[in-house]
Amino acid sequence: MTPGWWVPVALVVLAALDGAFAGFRSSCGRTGLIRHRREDVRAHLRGLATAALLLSPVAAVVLADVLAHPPRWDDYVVAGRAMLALYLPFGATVLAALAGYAVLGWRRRFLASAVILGPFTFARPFVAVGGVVLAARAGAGCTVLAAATAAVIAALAVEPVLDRRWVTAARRRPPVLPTGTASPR
Amino acid sequence: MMISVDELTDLMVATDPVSGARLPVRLDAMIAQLRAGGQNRAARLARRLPVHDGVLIAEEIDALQIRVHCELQRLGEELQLPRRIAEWLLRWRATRPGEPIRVVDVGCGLGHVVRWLAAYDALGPGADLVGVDLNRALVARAAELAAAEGLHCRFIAGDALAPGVAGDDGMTTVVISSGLLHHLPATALPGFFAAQRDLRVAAFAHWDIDPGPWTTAGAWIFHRARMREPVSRHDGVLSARRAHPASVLLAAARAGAPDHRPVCADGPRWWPRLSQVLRPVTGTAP
Repeated sequence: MTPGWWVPVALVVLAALDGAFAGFRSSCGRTGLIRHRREDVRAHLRGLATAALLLSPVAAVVLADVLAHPPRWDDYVVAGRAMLALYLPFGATVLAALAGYAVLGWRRRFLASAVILGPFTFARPFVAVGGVVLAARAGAGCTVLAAATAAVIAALAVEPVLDRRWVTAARRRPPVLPTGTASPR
Repeated sequence: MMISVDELTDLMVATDPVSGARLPVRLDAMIAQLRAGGQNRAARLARRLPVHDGVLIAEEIDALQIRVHCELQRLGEELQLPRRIAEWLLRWRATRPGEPIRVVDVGCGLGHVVRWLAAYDALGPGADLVGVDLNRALVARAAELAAAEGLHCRFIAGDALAPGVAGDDGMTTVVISSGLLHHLPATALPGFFAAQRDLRVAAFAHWDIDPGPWTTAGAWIFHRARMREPVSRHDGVLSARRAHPASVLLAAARAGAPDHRPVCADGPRWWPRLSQVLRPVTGTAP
């Protein structure tokens, strides 16, 4: 077994951030209120929790597989490293743009959104799938690739799952304010 | 016969121009109009709208309109739309220090800009903030949202440029709008500006999309990334395609309100001007 513990750690951190942002996106444009910072914080936490929920079965299966077949650890690390070759620069760019969004004036904040945050949200599913392709090209076996695919599907499912939650909640108890918020993606 | 390209949100609601009463909208007529304009995708989307006896269900269409405008507000936040407008208003107001003003947002929708200006007290004391829209459901929700956040602004259902609706009591009035102009055909624009001249508004500033290939591509990407409602996605991209170039806006403003010395400029068509993706046509009374 090679070191490389940083690979799963980096993937988990990225998945957590991605889940939190997915939760934020799912809550945006729902209420029409001007001040929504508190709801934004809740939405990030909701995204984080949903990502943990959806990804934990995959993590458990991978853990069980590594415990049952220790040599496969190297396969996972190789695949994870290949995925991170794409995900890390992508994530770092998004984080840099978010940092800029948080501290810069509104004109530059707009640029961060127009140049990076918007287009990168659009590109996110393709980048996620691209990571699996890179893992395959790195020579990952079927089991490892299946786990990588399942993880990507779970990560991409966070936002739709939360969107469905809005729909279900709105149907169960129509919100007083505002909106029909019940639009799935 | 002139064939128009329409946004779904424009066709979903019809009101009597005199009484403002809601008129029934027949789905087959709507689809026929879309097909006549070659808008087959829009016609397919229209087929999914809620219908009873061939007529769109008003309550569900209202809920859809509110959802669409909530999403639109989110996009407006990213485009920093209220800040752009506040910056212009503050610059204009600096020429009249201490003078009370009324800001009338025409076609305000959910009143995002007006509520933002109120929430952040962006214009300082002495600013009367009014949002006006023909759509009563949107105006009612705008008023509810303002009340929920304790904001000092008001909303009126009606034609903002009709005398007496948004106030022609002699108070210094600035008429603004955002994303409204592309809903008007080019032939109606001179009349739109002339109505503001007739109301003797002190200034107008109407923000809309700077049209061009980059803007259309950006609108497509952002609406795919940010919007959930298929109607939002369709109309958002169409808005960018329908937007009037500065030359058209300027000619219309000069024809309708020549004394206001209108100003509007687009950048080079093939060079992206990201910071000016929304730009105003402005005019100030002498």
